[in-house]
Amino acid sequence: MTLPIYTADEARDRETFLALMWALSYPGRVHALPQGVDSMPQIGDALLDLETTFYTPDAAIADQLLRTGARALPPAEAAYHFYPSLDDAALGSLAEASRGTMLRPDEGATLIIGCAFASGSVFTLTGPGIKDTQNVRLGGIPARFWSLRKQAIRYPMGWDVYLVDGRDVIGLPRTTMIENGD
Amino acid sequence: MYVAAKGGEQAIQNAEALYQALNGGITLADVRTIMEKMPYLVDRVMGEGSLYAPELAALAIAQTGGDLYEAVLLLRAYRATQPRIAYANPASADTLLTVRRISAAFKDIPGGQILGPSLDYSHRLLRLDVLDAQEDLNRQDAKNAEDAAHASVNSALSAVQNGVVVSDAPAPPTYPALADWQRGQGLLPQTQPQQIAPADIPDVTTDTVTFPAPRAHRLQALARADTGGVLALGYSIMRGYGLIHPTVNELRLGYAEVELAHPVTGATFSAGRVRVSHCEVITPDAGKNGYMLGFAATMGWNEVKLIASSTLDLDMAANEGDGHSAHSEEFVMYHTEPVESSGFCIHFKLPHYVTFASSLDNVRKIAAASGWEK
Repeated sequence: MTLPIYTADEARDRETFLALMWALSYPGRVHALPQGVDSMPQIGDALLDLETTFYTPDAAIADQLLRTGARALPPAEAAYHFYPSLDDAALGSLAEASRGTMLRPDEGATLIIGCAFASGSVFTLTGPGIKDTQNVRLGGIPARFWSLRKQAIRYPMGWDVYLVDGRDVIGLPRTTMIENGD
Repeated sequence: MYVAAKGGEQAIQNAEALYQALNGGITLADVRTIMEKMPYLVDRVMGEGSLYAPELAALAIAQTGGDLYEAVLLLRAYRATQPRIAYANPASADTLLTVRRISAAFKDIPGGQILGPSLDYSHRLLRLDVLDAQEDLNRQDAKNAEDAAHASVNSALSAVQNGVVVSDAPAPPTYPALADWQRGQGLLPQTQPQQIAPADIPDVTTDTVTFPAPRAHRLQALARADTGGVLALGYSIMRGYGLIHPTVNELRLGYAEVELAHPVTGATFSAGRVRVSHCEVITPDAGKNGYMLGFAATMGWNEVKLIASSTLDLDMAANEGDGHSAHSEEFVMYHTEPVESSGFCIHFKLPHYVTFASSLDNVRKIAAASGWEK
């Protein structure tokens, strides 16, 4: 079988893409992003190009994402949102993120959110890709985020979420149900 | 468990090995020869593959032994892995470096008829004398191959064979659009170019296609359509199932500059030239005083595809909804899609053992219940 030859950048983007793909396939399991690069811009390199759009309140990340050719748009119109952390202002922008339409659920936004996996409450996940239940410990996510997510999801509409802590990523697709198990 | 399609791995590997053994390996020289000697075939694969890459198209043709649907599939699969890195400026007829430009509507069109390179007026006889010559097929030296790889208008012109009369003065590089003159005469309705950001142009290669399709989708679908598919449907219209007689208003072969805005300075520059062709057909507009146009364009030079496609474009516009298949956008766009149609067709040779076993089971049950004997 012929295998394609990757450049270093392509190999890293591919490794990132695979981690993100598996993260959404098995919600709640921790997957590893490539070493030696900042995770948020690296996710941008893997997912964004000239034909995609993004929003981020972080000026430094925005500069790096713009290099992919993607267009910076207001929160309601952007396909990908990048939040290094969720403060009140970030939650205000995030609340406007598109959840798609019944005809075009693929237009629901993808949210990439920085948080901490070592602290915070334990949550119990159920849904497709999870055998029985999956527990995750998530810190740095305000309670309001969970209510916003719940409001946004009217399946098949909703948001797909990546939670990022350093090189670790957890996927929360719109199909995953989440309960605080404290 | 889907057991029916398991097994046979060794047989599958042997099948591919036998294919390679029967067709021989491929070399860079083979690819270069295809590029140099079969430009219309390369154009067709690039057009249907929607990727302007002569070397890759020639490679796809070599790699598939000339099975065009496989070649187009290879090129499309490669295309799918490539990001779009920029949007070129639109190319327009009056700035196209034109080498052939003919009209069947008027003899004396503004700018004149330019026959350019064509076999249209040739005697259709096989050149059997070629077979008599004991030519050494390997005598193509590397220099020739290199030239072909960088084929440009200049090298094409310098490569003309004996028998071409070279004019003292070069022909004009560009010609006005005939339709502009007709608009000036009030024969065609005035048009205004739609102002749209490149990112907002509907893209049939990535969008969900719904009907009625945006005009961009229709023209893109025709540009990458199967040549044989649009010919069959276009011919059905021409032969009498359609309502129009397509007169070729203007048919052009040329080279378009790929004009880009420099990412830093913003200055416009050309990244290179690509072979393109476009065609308009014209017919009286039954509802109004004047005429209406059908249009099609594609990468590469492919006259039969464009005459058929522009006829389909015109007939779909004029007669949508009258019940004839070739007037329906949905019918034309889906059934002329080379990868979807050929892929769906050949998938039927893959194992359908479970489906068939189920149907056989039903047939036997019915036969048994009805008491039918063999």
